Amino acid sequence: MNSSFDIKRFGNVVRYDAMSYFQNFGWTLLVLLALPIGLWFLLYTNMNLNDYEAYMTEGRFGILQVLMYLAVMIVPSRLYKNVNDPRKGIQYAMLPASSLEKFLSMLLYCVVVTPILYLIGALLIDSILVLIPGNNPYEGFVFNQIFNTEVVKFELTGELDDCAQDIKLPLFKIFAFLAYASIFMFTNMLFKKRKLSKTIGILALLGITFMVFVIRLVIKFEGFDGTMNADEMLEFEKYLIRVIYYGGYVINLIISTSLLYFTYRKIRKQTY
Amino acid sequence: MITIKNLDFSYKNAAVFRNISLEFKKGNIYGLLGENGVGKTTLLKIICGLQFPNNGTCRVDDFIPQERNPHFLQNIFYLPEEVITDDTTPDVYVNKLGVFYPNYDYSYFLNLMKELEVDPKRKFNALSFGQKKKALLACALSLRTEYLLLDEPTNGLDIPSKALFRKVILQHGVTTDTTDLHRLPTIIISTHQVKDVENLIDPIVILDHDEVLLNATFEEISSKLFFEYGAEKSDEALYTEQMPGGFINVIPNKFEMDSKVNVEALFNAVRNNKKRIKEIFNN
Repeated sequence: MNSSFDIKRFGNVVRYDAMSYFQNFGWTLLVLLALPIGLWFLLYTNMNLNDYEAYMTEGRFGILQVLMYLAVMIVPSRLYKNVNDPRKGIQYAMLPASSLEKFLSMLLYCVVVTPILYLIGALLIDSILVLIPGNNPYEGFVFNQIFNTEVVKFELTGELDDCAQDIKLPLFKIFAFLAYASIFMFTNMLFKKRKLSKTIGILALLGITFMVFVIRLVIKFEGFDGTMNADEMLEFEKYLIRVIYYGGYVINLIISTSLLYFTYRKIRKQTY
Repeated sequence: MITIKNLDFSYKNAAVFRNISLEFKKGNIYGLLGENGVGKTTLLKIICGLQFPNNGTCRVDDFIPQERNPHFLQNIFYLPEEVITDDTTPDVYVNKLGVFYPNYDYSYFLNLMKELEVDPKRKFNALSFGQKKKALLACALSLRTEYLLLDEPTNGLDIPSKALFRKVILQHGVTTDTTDLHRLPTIIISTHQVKDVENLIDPIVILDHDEVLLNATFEEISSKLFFEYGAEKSDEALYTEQMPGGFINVIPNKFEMDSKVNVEALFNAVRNNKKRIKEIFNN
């Protein structure tokens, strides 16, 4: 039997984590699934709001995606909250499975199971809400949006659209999602207490720094705005978008691989 | 066998062990004794790979614990002093863990629970502290690992439960379904409540701040030290303690006389005569 990876042992870890999944994350998952019902009820009781954005399938799918991201953000700190606790984490560390098997199971639940489970549940609930007869604020199934490639593309219109087609945005989104999930998996192993608030604080700080950098760049860019004609400007914008998105690929790839590696390393080297 | 060689360990700048060497042979129930804070728990954690030595080596059979090899982990179980349980029943808990351990025995678990008088289907939250501790002990024993490390297992147990604890531990070695001595379980019980485990442990390891004061079997101890129960104090005694009806004197056994080892008196004798004890046991 291989000491790094054995399918039977991995299955046991997946089963072990599954037994804790609903116990530790079940209520959070239910609350996140109940939020779209709350939204529907709000719209149902305030039909005169005329806020069609929320009624439309695209808007609803957007909301479900945001909630799915929220679930992915929360799941490591609920399901694996004790893995680095000096007292409560002992059982996890002593579990007869390799660090790789424990890490892969963690990855499975944080990156695959949770988003799929949430989306299935949320789409099912949304479909049921659509089927409610009478003065229903919802029309059309959100389910169709999964197969609508327009939704997964960034909103680039007009002359820049061909540029957006060119850079394969769905793949970009997958990388971005992996990077996003890996941040919360890593900080869950890094921090012992107040895991989520610390992570959000750090991300906010990094976000502000990045915004300042972008604003400075824009100001500089506006400086030579007058020196270009319209065609040159469009070419430059296309170039800039490619730089941003290809840079995004690389950055997301670096973030996800490095943070996932450090998460695995933390599982291996964590002392209690 | 557990072999510790020239091991150094410290928490940041606070040294716990300096160059200690120690062996735990297979098939014994070791008593790991020492005052509070000498590093008993830390030593157990190093043995099961929860803490990593700064220098030196710790090996359990062919494994280096800090590598946390799954084959190593399925043959060792550490039961910490603190009772930490899931929001579940002992029955669910042990089955959740049991799939990882090749020698796990569910019927043995049920027998132990019956013997320890704890309902396996009752939630941990509904059990008293002592019942939780007994349930966890039953879980630990039923996994049938080759090495079982128990940290202060009798803390919080009432008098009948302490007796039950001694009974199931003594039975555990006997009930292990093997004739191979190398497969007999090695149990290390860390405690500062020596009376609770007096008739259970053999050999005894006494730890002090950053050193091992004693690692000897009862036979070795009684051949080197004489435990005299008398009406008077002895001038030669390494340690004397007043008891109801007289004194207990711990004296170097110059005339190879037989006596019953009193673990508490031994512990105090060792603690008060560190250098002398080392001389006696190294000769």
